[in-house]
Amino acid sequence: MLKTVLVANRGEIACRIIKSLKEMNIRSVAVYSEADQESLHVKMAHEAYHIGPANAKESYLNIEKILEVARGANVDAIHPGYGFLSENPKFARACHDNEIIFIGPSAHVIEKMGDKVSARRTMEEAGVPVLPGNHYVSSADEAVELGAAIGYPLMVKAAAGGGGIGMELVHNDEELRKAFSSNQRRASNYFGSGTLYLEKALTAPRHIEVQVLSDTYGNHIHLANGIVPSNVDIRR
Amino acid sequence: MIEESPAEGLPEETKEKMRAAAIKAVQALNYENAGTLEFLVEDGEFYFLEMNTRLQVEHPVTEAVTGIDIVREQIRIASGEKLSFEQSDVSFHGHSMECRVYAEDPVTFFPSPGTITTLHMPNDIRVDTAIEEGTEVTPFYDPMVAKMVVYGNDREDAIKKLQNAIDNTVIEGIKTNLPFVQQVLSHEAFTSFNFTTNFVKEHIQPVSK
Repeated sequence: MLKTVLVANRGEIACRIIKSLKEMNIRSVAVYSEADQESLHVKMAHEAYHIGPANAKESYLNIEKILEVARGANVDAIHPGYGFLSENPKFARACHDNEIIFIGPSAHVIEKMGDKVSARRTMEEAGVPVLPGNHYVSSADEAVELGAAIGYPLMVKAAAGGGGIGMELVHNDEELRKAFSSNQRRASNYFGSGTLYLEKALTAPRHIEVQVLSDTYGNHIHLANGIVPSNVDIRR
Repeated sequence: MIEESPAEGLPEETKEKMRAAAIKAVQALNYENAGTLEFLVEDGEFYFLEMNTRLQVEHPVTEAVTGIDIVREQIRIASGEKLSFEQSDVSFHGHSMECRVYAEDPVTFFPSPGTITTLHMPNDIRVDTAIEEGTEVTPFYDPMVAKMVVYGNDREDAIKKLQNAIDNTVIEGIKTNLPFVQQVLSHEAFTSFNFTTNFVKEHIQPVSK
């Protein structure tokens, strides 16, 4: 069993992870930015290290700094929580290179699922149903051409996106052209990549989640009775 | 901002197909650790939307209906241990509902940073939180400060418990989305679970002050 785990996160999720670590008698290491010195996760952990200014880019997203702390504190593993570095393949790879266990899937799988088009292709190959629309589009003209083939309504989405950010519903060529340029910019700002793709839109879909757990011996189970989130649209 | 399990009003057959598809997907990926597949469902058909290759924000509702501590399993898996149970050991009981508590204005949805002067949250439900009295909620990060998770016999019971829990919550010093959550919870379209991902857009008007 792991002896020491660094939690590369803050807020409620850092506290929640530290709680489980304590129950398992595992030493917990917290990291914090200048803005979080007095935070609960810092107080709860066995040890806590300052990793930089409030700006997340220089603290909670600072791979080098976090790994430096991890090496110094002699941790076996890093739990990334959600958000921040949790789906960053570079971070997962950097942990691996430093012989620190990243608590999550391999960098390769994170990468594959992080790109929404490659994720869709992978799922299609595995026999999981996906909506029509599976190609990167590089220009508004190309989008209109491809859009005609799939049929309206369509969703314009960022390939590097997710969680509903950088997507827009369009009903005709004109809306598609407009959405293409605005979302290309937005995706580029948010995700560092302006690559878009189109997907057939449903009229009144329900959003259902299936959680899975997989060990390193090829055993996979689902914990799914279906989770229904009702949080779409309003926060975006 | 509200999540719940199980997914009611979904035919068992569709659910079973989605579970099978999820397992096929993770097998194809040689997946390790925890993850979540998101699907869109319409007219009994489902489609892969995306996969989150990490712990899900709303994992507590799954924990509540299965009794499994997902973070503990993540740590065990990372330690090189086998899953401590099989699929047939996983059963689902009751209905769980979670609401995210955001430090934000319930009308404009703008972030509402500040110092928490009074904090009272019910102790008979699960609250995953990072705030105490005196905590300064800064503008630098996601404004979610806590999650309130209830567990009931059925959906109606869970809604009632969440409403009560919010009623018994006092957070002063910052504004929160809780008045808005209350409005959603008591809305007929929500209670009759006749909602889709367009629910808020279609049914909810800003809370009037």
